[in-house]
Amino acid sequence: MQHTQSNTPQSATLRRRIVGAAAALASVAASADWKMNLQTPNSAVAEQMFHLHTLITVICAVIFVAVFGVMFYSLYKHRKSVGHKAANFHENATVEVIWTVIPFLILLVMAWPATKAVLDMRDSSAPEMTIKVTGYQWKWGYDYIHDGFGYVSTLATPLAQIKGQETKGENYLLEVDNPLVVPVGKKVRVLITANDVLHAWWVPALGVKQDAIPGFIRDAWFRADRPGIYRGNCAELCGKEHGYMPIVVEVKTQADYDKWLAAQKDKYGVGKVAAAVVEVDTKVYTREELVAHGKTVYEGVGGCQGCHQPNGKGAGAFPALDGSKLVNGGKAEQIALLLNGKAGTAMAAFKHLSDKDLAGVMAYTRSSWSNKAAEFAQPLDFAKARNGGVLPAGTTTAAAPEAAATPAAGAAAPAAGGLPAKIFFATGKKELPADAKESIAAAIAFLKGKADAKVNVTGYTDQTGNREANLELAKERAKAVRAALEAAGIDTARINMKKPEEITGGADNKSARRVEISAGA
Amino acid sequence: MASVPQDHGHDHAHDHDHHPTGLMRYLTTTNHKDIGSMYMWFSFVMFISGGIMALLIRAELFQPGLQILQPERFNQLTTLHGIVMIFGAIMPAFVGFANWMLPLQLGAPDMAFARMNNWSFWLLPPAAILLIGSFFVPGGAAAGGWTLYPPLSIQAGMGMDMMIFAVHIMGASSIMGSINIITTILNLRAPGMTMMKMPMFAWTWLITAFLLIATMPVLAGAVTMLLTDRHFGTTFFNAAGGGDPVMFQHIFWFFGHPEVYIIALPAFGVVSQIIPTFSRKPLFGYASMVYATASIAILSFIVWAHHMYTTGLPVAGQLYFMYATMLIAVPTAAKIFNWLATMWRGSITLETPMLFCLGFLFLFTMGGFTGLVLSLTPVDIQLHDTYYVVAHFHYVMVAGALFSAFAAVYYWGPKWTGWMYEEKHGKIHFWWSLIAFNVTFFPQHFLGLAGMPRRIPDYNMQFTEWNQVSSIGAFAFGTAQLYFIWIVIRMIRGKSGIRAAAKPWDGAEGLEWTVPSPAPYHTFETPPIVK
Repeated sequence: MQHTQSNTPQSATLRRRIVGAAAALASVAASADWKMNLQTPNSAVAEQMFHLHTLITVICAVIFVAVFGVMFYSLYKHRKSVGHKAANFHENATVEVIWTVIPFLILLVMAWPATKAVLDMRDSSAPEMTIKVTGYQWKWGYDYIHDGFGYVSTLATPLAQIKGQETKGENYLLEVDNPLVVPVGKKVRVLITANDVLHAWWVPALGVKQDAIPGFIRDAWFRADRPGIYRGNCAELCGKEHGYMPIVVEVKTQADYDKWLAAQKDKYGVGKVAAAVVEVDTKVYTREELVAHGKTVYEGVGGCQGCHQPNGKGAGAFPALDGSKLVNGGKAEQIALLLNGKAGTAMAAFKHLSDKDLAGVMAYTRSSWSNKAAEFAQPLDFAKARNGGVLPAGTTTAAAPEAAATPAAGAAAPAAGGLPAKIFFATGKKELPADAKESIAAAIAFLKGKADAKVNVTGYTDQTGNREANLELAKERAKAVRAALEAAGIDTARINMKKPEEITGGADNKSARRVEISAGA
Repeated sequence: MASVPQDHGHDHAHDHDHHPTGLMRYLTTTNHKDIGSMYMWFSFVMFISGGIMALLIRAELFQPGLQILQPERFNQLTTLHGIVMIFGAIMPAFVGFANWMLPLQLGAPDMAFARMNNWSFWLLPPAAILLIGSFFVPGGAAAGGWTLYPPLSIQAGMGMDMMIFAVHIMGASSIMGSINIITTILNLRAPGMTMMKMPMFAWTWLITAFLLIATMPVLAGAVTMLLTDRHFGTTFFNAAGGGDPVMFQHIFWFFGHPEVYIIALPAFGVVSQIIPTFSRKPLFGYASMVYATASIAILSFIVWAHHMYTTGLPVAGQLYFMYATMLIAVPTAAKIFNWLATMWRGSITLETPMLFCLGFLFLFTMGGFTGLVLSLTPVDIQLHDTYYVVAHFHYVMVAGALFSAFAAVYYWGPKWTGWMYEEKHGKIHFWWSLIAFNVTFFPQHFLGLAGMPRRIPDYNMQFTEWNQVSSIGAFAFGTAQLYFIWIVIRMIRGKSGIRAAAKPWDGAEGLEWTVPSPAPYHTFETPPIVK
């Protein structure tokens, strides 16, 4: 959405074509925005969308003028007031066939480039990098799954600008704290999902709009042609602050991107020994210190007051904190709620915040308005809660970085002893069963433990039914396991897909329907 | 045993020439004309309510920043504006026309199921109270969009439950109305009126009624699943329990796309009555018009997922739904050409009903073309959920439904009231509406293209200019409709001083023009003979 774009040749041409009157208006106020066309494309797919739109708009405009030319001629010439006597024809098969066939042919002409564009747009194969995008109410999470770190991206426009107390900046509502950063010219595949409700990840200049669906992963891809900053919005209504969760993509040159990547890895401690990464804040704060800090979090950008209101009274579906039983009750429940959110409601998990931020918010809510809870929590309590109630091994110094959000984080790392692991499937199904997590975690732990280790993945089925279908099913099951490993950031090259040596798998049918993961070479 | 005493208690109030007066007349009436009028008044009240919501939305969007509405209230208004306009304003208006005109056009004494007709109407006010009342309950009205997509609609407060029940009630009303219309058309036609001699309005309503019967239960099912997901622990739309949020969209749009034609087809019927009248020439291609209407209805069932291109349909799905959607342009174009050919070499006059039909043609064609633009998957990826879509469906809905509803009121109003409307005011109303409509909605195409999403209360400054134009247009359009009701009230009161003849339009054809104006309370008690 650069401000110079309305002067690009394409949009100027189309502007002339669309409608004369409106174009005249636009040129009167050339300095104002009056934008009338799609944004300047910055990827081959967006380019195709742009030209397809121009083509079909021109075709429609021509037909429109022709058809209504005929109508206005008729209105002018065939009026009663000019003495025209009505004819009495009311059928003509030839004409009717012609005006059925011609639109059909025009549609064929349009369908051809559109089909090509669809095939291109959906071909997300062979990506050069993959990023997982998660929609939250109301922010975006970006996980660089092959680089082992991730972060959250929230609106950076101050509330005062929204309320009209400050002058609005140029990128009002289209600016974030942490943009998504990608290298120019690389095919980037985005895996898109959501945490709570539907969202849609949309960057017009890159030609990507994909709904984010909780519980499912969809993909899309783009290859940015030029470096720069590209802005978009959440496009699917996702509740109260749907209009306040923009998307900003910063496209960097490869060299700049590499520098940025190194800095991020450093920041998130990727590749370092776990013990040296993030220090647990073991300091004991006074209640006043925490309340003062918590107030800044509560009232800050993207803070709690967005839903629960500055006066703590809540609004609509968002419960009041003032007088709340939970806020005035024992600390364990509130710690769990802040860390994990509450399923089925708008209360999201806030574990990406620091222990001190969370302890601050907790102390603040317990000391404000009419609330006077005796208990409050220290950052250390949150650190423990994150780690199943005990301090992480080797405390006073370290814990695994939560923000890195690698799915393996938190899974205690058994040695290769976890392997071989078996995952059992339901009859005829290739979807991973719910209890597959442990086996997957074991494999991941094994792979993370040794940089050069690989695993073998082999699918089996029972012996009932068609043999070829069974072979195919076994393969699909193995693929499902591979996908789960890939989603956890394991490089595909480290997963060997092995054919089963025999198709039988024991006498018991249940134990036959399985995928085995074993240590490989 | 004692003999059973004879019951002398029944009075003879059900004698058909004697009916209650005042409120009881309307509560108990089974007369198609009374019920038709009630539908229309109900529709107008809802139209004004939905219009006020629209104006609040446009007022907030007049400039960036939050001025008069909080985001949550804004979302409630967009949601209720959609539901109220579709289910409260547009559909009842056309059911009202059907009630008044079908018996008159077919030579029937009344609708086939007169008591059910009363019940179909009186279900609507409770539904309306649920909808409007939901603004005043804790948590406010439903705010998940009129499409009610989960999981957002599952998060909402009790306003959503009220919306769900309102949809149930309105669906029941629509289904009963449809059964009534189908039975009336199939069984109560005057002797000699074969199917292929029926007025086009009857044909389009017959097909519409079948669409309603096929799709309303689907919507009822979808919202019931939402209700049980919300309160009874089912997980139809929750992946954690084996459900799928996208499944709701499939079910919803299986209703939702035919719904577009439920709204558009009766409008086509009205236009097909009026254009021949003022061209003084029979409708061109009557048979092909019937076939085109039926084709559109059938095609409408197999294109639903074009509302869902961005959900991540498989490639084959995207291609199939794109081709099927593009195909709808063929029968729709045939209809437009038929209307043009009807005018061609006619003897045209431009009274208000004809003007509104021409406005309909102009705007509906524009909405049709933007529909074609949106049918192309790659273009839709850019435009889905933007203001371009908002502009598109207002061109289709407001032009398709509202303009033809205005045309119908001016065209049949003299038959209903016995008085002519004032032509000068009718024409001003037309030009005022046409210009204000375009000022409101044409700029929204540009906003969508430039990247403004729909359903947002606040936006970047680059969108300010067109939003201001649009808001100004919206207030002008809203005012025009107050002017409209003033014109209608003056018509009812006979302010033009011109009594309507039995056939006020010299080019009109059909049985409705053989009865006096205003139409007597009971008509065609002896069926007319159609040759």
